[in-house]
Amino acid sequence: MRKRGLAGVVIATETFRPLVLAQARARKLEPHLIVVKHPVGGLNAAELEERIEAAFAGLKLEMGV
Amino acid sequence: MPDAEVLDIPDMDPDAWADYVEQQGWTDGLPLVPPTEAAVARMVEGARGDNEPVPPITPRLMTPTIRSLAANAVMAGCRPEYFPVVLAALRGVLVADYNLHGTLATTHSCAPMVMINGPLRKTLNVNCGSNCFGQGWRANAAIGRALQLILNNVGGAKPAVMDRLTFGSPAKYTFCFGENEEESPFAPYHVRQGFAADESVATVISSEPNHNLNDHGSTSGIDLLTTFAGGIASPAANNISAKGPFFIVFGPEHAATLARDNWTVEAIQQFLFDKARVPLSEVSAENRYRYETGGNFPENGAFKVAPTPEDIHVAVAGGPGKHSAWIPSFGGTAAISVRIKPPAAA
Repeated sequence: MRKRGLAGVVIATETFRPLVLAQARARKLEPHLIVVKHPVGGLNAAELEERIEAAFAGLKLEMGV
Repeated sequence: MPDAEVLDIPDMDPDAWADYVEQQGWTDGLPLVPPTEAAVARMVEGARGDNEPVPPITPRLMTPTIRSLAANAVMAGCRPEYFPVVLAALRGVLVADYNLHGTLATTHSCAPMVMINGPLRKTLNVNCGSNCFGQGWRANAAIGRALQLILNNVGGAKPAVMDRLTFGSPAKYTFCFGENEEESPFAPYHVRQGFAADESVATVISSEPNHNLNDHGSTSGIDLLTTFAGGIASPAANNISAKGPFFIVFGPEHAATLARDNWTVEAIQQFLFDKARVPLSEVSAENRYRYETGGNFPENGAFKVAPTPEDIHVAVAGGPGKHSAWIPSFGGTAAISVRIKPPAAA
């Protein structure tokens, strides 16, 4: 995707960061990783807002905007 | 030239060996049988003539050699004659629809269930009767354990690192049994899947351990099925949120009652599909949204627990007693049956 000029990122929680990196290594990939606090599931809207803001900030950084 | 596949490990006593394999991260927690070159060679011989390559094993995506697989079968305690069953089960979990990657990366408590059909059950002394999901039979214990060790040591599914189950389950050590074809009133499972009765077959599915279905009171097939439909209609099982199959394993006594009342496998599947429903009153609004997003929409005020009647897989196993078993699955998986290749003649 990056070769086509698209921002390709993986958003993961901090708990699953090692798993994502290990999976990427197995596929010889170097993912652009945006890490947010764990968990994401089971949160109410206010609790989720922090994760959304962190992910969005990381995404903007990756997109250069 | 040194053999890259052979580790030169000095002789050590059993206690030191148990500590060594623990330090290496090779064990499931229990001591392992030392995979000496001679023992591995005997195991490889158990699959003589099987030249079909085994695909790369997720998550590490290493293409296994036959000796690496044999070494894990030795460590699990397999006899060489078990090895073709281990290979068939492994090939089953590597079929794309089984979804090995998803079943390892998930937090759900799933493990590979292995059910064996056909004449090899008897040859290998696979327990199909009393306590078939439990301890006491080397074939059941070692075949399931070998599959797990291969996933751990060759595939790289290290517990709590790459294998991320919240709880795991006892089935992660081993979950292997045979269908009790001799006491089943129905055609054997593998025959219903299109195999010949004289073929031996390993069937795998990513599942939870067995959940007991107790009915000592009912005396008719329809009453038994009504009990079971209630037992499997759970709003908290993966099968409601992720489309997928599961197993109902009837104990021989329940199976006999069903057959006496003229219940066919197809009729049982249809009855359970129609009656095992989770009412909307037991489902939160958030979960309803999740299930519907996944394609499971309520019908007549209730959710299905299987996409189709055929996703309710029926088998017979176990011994005397008024019990049957529900084996809930990961959901996003499939039941895969693979023919076990007998070793070629020397």
